[in-house]
Amino acid sequence: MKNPDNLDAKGNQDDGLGEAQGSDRRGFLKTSLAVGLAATAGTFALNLGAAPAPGTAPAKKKLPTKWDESYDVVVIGSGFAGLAAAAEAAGKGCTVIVLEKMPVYGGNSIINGGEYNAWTDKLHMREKFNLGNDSSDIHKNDTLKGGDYFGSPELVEILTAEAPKALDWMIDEGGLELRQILNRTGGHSQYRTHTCIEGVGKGFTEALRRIAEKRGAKMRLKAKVSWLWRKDVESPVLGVELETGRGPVNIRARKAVVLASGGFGRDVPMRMIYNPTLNAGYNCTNHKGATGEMIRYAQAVGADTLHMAFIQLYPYADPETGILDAPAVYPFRGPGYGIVYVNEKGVRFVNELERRDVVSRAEMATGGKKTFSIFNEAMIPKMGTLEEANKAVAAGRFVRAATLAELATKIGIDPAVLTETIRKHDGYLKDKKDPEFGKNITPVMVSLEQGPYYAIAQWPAVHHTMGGLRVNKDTQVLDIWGKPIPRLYAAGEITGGLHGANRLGGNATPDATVFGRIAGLKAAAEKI
Amino acid sequence: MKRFPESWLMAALLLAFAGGLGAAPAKAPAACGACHPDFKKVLGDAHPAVKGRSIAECLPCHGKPAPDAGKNAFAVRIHRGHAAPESGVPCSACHEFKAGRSFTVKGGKRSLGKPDAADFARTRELMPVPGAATYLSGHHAAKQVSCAGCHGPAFPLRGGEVANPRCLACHGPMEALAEKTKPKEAHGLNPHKSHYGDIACTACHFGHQPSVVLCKDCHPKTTLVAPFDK
Repeated sequence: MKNPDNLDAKGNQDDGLGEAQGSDRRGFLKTSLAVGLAATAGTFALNLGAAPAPGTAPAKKKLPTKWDESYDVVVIGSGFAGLAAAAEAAGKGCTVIVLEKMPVYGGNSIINGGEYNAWTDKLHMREKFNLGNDSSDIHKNDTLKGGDYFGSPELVEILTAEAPKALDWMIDEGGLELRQILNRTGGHSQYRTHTCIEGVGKGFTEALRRIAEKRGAKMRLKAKVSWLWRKDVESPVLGVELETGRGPVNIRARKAVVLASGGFGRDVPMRMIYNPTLNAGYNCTNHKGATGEMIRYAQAVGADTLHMAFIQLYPYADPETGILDAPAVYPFRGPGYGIVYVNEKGVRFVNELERRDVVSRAEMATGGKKTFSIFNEAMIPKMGTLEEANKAVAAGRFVRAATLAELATKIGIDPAVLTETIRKHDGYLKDKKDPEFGKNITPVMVSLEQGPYYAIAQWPAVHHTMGGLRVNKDTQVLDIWGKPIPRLYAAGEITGGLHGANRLGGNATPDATVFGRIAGLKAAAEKI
Repeated sequence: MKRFPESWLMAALLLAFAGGLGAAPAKAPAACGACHPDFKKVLGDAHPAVKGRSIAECLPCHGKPAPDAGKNAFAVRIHRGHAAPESGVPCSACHEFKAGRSFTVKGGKRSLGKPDAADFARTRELMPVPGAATYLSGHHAAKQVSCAGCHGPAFPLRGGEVANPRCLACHGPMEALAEKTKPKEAHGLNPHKSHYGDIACTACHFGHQPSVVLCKDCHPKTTLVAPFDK
């Protein structure tokens, strides 16, 4: 019960996966799977842990003989997926606890760009703004293509079909408000990216939190899960162990555990296992808690993973800090309306409508340390609000100038070169043809003939881990034999297999919300 | 999981064990008068005259459980004076303890709880903190805010949280704090009015360990500092 070692344990501490343990864990991932499965029996819990080392799981963990607390559904993580699962399970009358290890709720969701792809919505914005056609199938095909066809068609179909319903649900029941804008963003063939009124993910997390709390779900902060309890390879998941200042506390999940704890973008050793190039030299847009330990705990009770090496860079983060703040979303929203990306010399280097992975690689190939998005004031109402832009200028994130030459000087580019680049691009809009990069020019794109002009610096930062736990269409976590692990569900960034090699921007929020809802409903349907 | 069903006079307990109750069996229970021949000097003129010479004399006025969120100057003052690690006054000077059965102020009829050995081990760890530390708790203690002032009358569990209303009862409303920490520059961060909205005070402010600036997790360039962060 008492564990003085935990006195100072906080979410921001090393969870035992620093460099020193990295090699141990690699070994454990490779070799101990079969051994651990065969060796566990009796009252010991299923556990694929390696030999005990400081900060790692003990080789054998005894199943709890009594539970300190008990809920129907235990949800781990309080982002889109966790809140959606909690809302749906609570809506079915379940007692639900959401365990969040950080001191604030919302994970990456609450600080994300506030973008949500849906081919339609109850406000019929696409029709209202005359932005062409769309359908669940077109969204599906774009998503599969954008992921180089590594994504599961079965899961993507659910995503695109259910995304509009989940959006309307948040509007109707959670008080979500959307901006009257609709964007065509990188990799999408249509205008389907919705933005909440707040311009950051908090608009969605607040809507989901309201629904979940209204239905009786409870949330606990600074509640770090330190183990998943499962007896053997046939057994269901029984509950979780919580690391507290007073030692471990065991929480029984009478119906199910839902894993919704996000990805591992902030865990440098872990991401380097799967992609050794993504070392600590890369900035990261994620919150500090995105460290992926729940993936390892799930693996330790038999869960399979896939696509772990597919780790997305966000091409438009602040070059210095890696932050993805409200201004850093404008370059993402802009391509459908004619935003221009230039390198440090003031020259275009990529088709702005390209996917995030392509843009990120192109940025790094410029050989510089930053690139810029160039736009004008006429485009701002289509991407955000003038008020937000003014704040971004005041904060030094946007640079504003009356003329292109002045703008170029302010950002350290040769005025003649930048002016020439933009004038050429204006011509491409008129000709409806981009001979340089083959951008698909549309009638709603705005020419940059008129100032005032804006620039924002942008550079890739680790953003989203497409890989994760292997799940089926019911969000059940699958073991290495492809069998569902009873009473274990997962949704959101912790899962892998939907987005494939590259996630299209604006697909994460519907992914987490749609599959979070499914996880909540399936968990609630479990028999006690 | 509630391990302490009784409502403890926790301020008394918490501050009582710096000397280590069990650790000092050799020292005989001391009457207050042995060290304080003249109570008036210690208590000041405003305090009613005290006739007796033991802690029991204090109880008729001070022996009630601390009122919720209120000040309990008695427990803080008396413990800060006596329970500082260097004071040498053992807990047993004023308290009686039977493991697993009762914990009382000598002369008091009411047991203040049934702590076990582990509880005492923990209490000893926490004990020196409020009075002596440079942390937030030490600052509160210096301002005569007792443990109960933040934790309420129940024994505070390690890892437990103090909820915002209790902080804001004295320091609030949040809008006033936001005004106080309004950044001078346009791009400065206001920790009390952030994009997170209403967050727990305890996201940054810790009572018994250095406070932190949560904003720095993502905004490493900010020059914000949290008070009592050393």
